[in-house]
Amino acid sequence: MTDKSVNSQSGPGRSSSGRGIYQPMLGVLASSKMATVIGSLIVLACIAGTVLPQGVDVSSFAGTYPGWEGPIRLIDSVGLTRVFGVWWFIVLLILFSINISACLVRRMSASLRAGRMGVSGWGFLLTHVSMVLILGGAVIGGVFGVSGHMNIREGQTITEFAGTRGRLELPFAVRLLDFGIEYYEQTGKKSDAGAGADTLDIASADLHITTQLVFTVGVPVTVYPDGEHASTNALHVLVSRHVPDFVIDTTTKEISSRSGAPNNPAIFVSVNGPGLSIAKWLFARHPGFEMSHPSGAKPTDSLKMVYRSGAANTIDTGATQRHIKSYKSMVQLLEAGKVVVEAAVEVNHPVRHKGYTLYQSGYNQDDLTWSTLQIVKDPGVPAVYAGFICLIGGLILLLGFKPAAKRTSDATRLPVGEKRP
Amino acid sequence: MTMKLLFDLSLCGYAIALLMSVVYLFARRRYIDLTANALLGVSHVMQFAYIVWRWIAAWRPPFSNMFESLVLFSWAIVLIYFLVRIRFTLLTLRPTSALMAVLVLAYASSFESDIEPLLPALRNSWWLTVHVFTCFLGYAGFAVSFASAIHYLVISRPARHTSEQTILDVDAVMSKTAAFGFIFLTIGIITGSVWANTAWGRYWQWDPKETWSLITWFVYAAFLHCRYMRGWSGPVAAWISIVGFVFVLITFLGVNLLRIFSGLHSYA
Ligand code: HEM
Repeated sequence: MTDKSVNSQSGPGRSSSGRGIYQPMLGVLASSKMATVIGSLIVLACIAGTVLPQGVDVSSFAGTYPGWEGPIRLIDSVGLTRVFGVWWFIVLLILFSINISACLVRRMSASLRAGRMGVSGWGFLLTHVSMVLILGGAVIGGVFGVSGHMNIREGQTITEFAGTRGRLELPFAVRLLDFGIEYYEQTGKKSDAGAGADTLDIASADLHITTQLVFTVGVPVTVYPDGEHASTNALHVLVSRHVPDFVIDTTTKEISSRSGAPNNPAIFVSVNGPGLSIAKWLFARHPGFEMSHPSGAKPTDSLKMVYRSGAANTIDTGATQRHIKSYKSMVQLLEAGKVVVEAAVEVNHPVRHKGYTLYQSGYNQDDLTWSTLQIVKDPGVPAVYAGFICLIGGLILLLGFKPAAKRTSDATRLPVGEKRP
Repeated sequence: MTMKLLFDLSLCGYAIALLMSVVYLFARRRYIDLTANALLGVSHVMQFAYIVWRWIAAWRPPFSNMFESLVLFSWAIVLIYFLVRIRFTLLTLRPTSALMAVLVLAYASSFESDIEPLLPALRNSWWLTVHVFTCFLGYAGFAVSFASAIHYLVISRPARHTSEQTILDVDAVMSKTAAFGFIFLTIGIITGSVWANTAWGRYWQWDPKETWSLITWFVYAAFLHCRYMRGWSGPVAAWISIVGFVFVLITFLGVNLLRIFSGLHSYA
């Protein structure tokens, strides 16, 4: 930074070049002051994004915090309730990339003129290029990426899936050959060998739904009435939070996990469907006890939900319980009618083809011929991964070799607390 | 001998080594120094055996819940102490490292230590194992850097008349352990991200824990720029290291405690 850039400016070639507006502008964009300001703003925004509730409808606060409507509305209107998607946060990340790129240009052109890079030169190049690659990859993913899910029945061949912004077409067809579940035989005794997945049973007589979902926190699932596949009576189920050891602070009503052990596993589920909207905590150990969301969602008696935790292995029902060990979909991917890939999609083992990745995400317990696949395409990933590799490589060059160590002893030879001249 | 006994013995060993190291500050007997070191080393090996035993018993890497992470954390702190000791002999390093290891282990024993079965998404993942291991190695580096930073602030006051060599050494330990921590935190964040991408197709979701690890990463990036690129030695770097470690603790323990407007958010 400063000391170093002074050096490089006095280096060969630099002193003679007065290139109008270009040099001073580069100087500002590449300055460590700019880096400090942008970096601090990003950090502050990140803190706000974890301290303030994100993605909420602030109108629900109004009743609970009388007198605070003004500030709450202000926080909401500047985007502090959705920090990680708001325009100014994206602008900050872009400015951050510009700052680093400008540093790279300045330092690299100095190195080129001086005719040598050195280990620390390469280290600097790699660490800083990596951040531009990662942020660039994120932009590519944000602009060109898609995600969604597909409900598919054994024997069926589908090319369309439901994306977050409408229906989308795959450049290949997916055929489900077979869907299968493997169970543990579990008797309510403790087992060291591993347990089943967490599951959520949903039953509604009105809607003709009885199903058992194996959920992933944060991944929404659509549940259709028995025997139907596309219906307006579908339920949209989202498990948005899971805590292994539920505790609630009775004064602040803050919910947290007392430990990492599954002593009191609980999930927060929201269900939306025709004429109903429910959001509540369910407890694996206390199936009868439900804690509703304080924003006052409508309770419904017709919908029964039971949360079974695979980790809470003392659900003592006496009877043998069936916990899911693994479940998978055997699929074929077809192009122009010809099978190009045949593979099993399993939890933690997605299948990739032509930039799309298929993940196993759910199924219908009462009709095991149905499977739900999550579909993600993120063309930014290669750039991000390339950035990861550059970052690690660059750090090893910069910090793992002697140059940094030498600088240490140079610097520390100064009186304590004083800046290097 | 049971597995638990190894745990208890290593905790006791660390505690006695801590006491002896404190005694050694006041009574510089060579035999005290040697015994304290030997005890710390033996306890460290026992703790390693405990981790390996648990790995074999559970048939999976034992890095998956709070108890197991804390055990790994304390083990890594002592490891860093021995690594630093190869090049630096600082009187205060052993008591501070042993103290942190004892506190972390004692805290660990307040958690359920039974071997717990795992959820499918956490099973059989090489990335996850590397992720947890490197993160905690990084945190341990930051812990020792933090202890050195405090030490630095205490001894560098002019009134203390500390020898210049000691100040230089403490400063070097503070910086090198932070640099070590930074490399491993970086690898930890990256492997976590790759794991998330293989498990559910997203490499970054801005969840509070991820976000705080990024904030922490930024703080230590600032530390390294000040320290190595600017050559600022001294109190500024020491303070950044201290703030950085507070952020490490928030990332590790406190993310759930941070939210305000409690009970009303969507728990996203
Ligand atoms: C948080 C992300 C980072 C930001 C915002 C950032 C920003 C900057 C800026 C603004 C400069 C000044 C360039 C100049 O004055 O020529 C710089 C220099 C430098 N940075 Fe970073 N950097 C980041 C991460 C890193 C990392 C992770 C490392 C590795 C430890 C690193 C190593 C360096 C080095 C070695 C220089 C000195 C370049 C020179 O000597 O001219 N940076 N960085």
